[in-house]
Amino acid sequence: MQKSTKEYLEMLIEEMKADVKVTILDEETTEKIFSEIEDDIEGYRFENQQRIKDSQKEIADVVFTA
Amino acid sequence: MHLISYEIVPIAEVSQLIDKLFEEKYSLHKYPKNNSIVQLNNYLNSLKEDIYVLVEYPYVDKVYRDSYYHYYSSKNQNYHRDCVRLSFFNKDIDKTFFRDAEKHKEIRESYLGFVVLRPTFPQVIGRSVIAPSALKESNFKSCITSVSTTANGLKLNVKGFPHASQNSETITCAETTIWCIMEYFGMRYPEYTPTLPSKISKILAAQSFERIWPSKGLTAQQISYALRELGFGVKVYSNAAYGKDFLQLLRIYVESGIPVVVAIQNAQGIGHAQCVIGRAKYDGPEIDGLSTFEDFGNNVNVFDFETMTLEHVFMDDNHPPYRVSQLESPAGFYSQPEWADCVITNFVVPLYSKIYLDAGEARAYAKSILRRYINNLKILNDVDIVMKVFLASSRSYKDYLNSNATLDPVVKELLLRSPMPKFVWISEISNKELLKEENVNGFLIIDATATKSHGLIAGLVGKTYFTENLNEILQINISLQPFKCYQNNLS
Repeated sequence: MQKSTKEYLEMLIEEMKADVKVTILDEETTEKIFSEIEDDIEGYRFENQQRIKDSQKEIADVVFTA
Repeated sequence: MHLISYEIVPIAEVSQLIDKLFEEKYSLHKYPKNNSIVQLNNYLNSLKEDIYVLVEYPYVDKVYRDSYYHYYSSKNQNYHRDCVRLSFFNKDIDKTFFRDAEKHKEIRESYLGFVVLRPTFPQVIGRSVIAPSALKESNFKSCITSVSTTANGLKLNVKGFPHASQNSETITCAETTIWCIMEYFGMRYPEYTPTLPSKISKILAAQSFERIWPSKGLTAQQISYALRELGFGVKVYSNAAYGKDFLQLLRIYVESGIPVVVAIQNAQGIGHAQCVIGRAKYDGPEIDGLSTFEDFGNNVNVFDFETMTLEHVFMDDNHPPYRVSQLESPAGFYSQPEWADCVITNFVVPLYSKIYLDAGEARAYAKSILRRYINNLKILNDVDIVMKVFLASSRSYKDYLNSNATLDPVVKELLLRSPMPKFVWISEISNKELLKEENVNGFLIIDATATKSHGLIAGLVGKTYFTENLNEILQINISLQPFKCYQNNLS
């Protein structure tokens, strides 16, 4: 069976004989963080969409000769 | 048959020698000759005064010959085929050294680059690559590549950024910037190939309803189109659309080691294209000058590195290479009044085609991760931090991690064993004092191919190393000391 990310990290830490521990964040906090980040990025992309369109429109008209 | 003639003279004597050569070899009259010498002197004056110059004639230059065969040879007026090449050395080289294998190492170590003088009088400054160390003023860091060339039959290498002036017939500023970009990427990465003026013209002809030569300049859209056809995933930005973020995004791309084509304009009708390839070195006062911050909660204030107003390095085809000015005043090195008040109105970024996350999104994502982790996990509190966002190839970044003697070995191994795409966005976390010592104490590594969220490959904030997969966040507590920052993008 394929190993989980946690198992991979633990294997590596064991290999290095390091005294550190891998923990998985609880589901509720994880979901909250992921959904907040998702909202932030969506907000940025929505705002950015118009800027991308405006930039593309503007570059068609500017001539560089000097 | 003509033999190749060569002379080695101190830089102060070059214009006199070239004046004579223009008269003898090109039968040049006083007016174009004097104007050409003015252009040459303007170029040479930017270089150190103790340089010695090897002058070779005739020289076959690939870029000029391309314009010659595709354009100048079709004209009634007689144009010459051959160029002159000037090679620069940081000390006097005896002519006999070139034929003495034991002296070749000495020549190679003193080599500072070359410039081709093409017979398009008076705009004679052709292709050149000059090492920044040849300049009178070089307190900057810029995109640099190693270029293989020859001087007097000896193979040499110079590290610099390609430059050329426009001839205003086959290449104006717009074509020159495309040529410079391709020359740089073609010399540096196997994915790209240097190009020639006729190839640029051919690409543009497919999209144009008018003839291309004699060139009357290009639109920013044409520059973007040509770069896309030459293999880049191009992004365009307009000042009007991006407002206060505009120059900050430009700074992020420059910090990423990407030469950016900028379009400058003023109310007096100037429309000009330049390349921005680097920035001035910074020190305590510039770092302390960072004043605008965002409150991320938990009493953590975040300063953006890209709000630092440093001078930047321009490659401008009307001036010698590596001109320095503020981004707010991109024609600051022009003395003519008609160039006053120019501003950058647009910029075009030649990105690797599989970088799907642009600078704005990468910065927004990095900030969001930091803000949400700080608020939900309390991994930082009561600190001021500086956040520096840039793009790096994972190959170069892993090499930096691997050779970083101050980085915790567990973190190093975790990162070196993490699969990464060809390019990653890095957000280095530090504070003003650490930045002055070129140190950082945290980072976020973001997948540049990510288009949805969940692009975080790994992060190190406070004393927590974390990584994400689609539905979980894994944490490892690490006791960490500050470590050296990444500096491989600009030299």
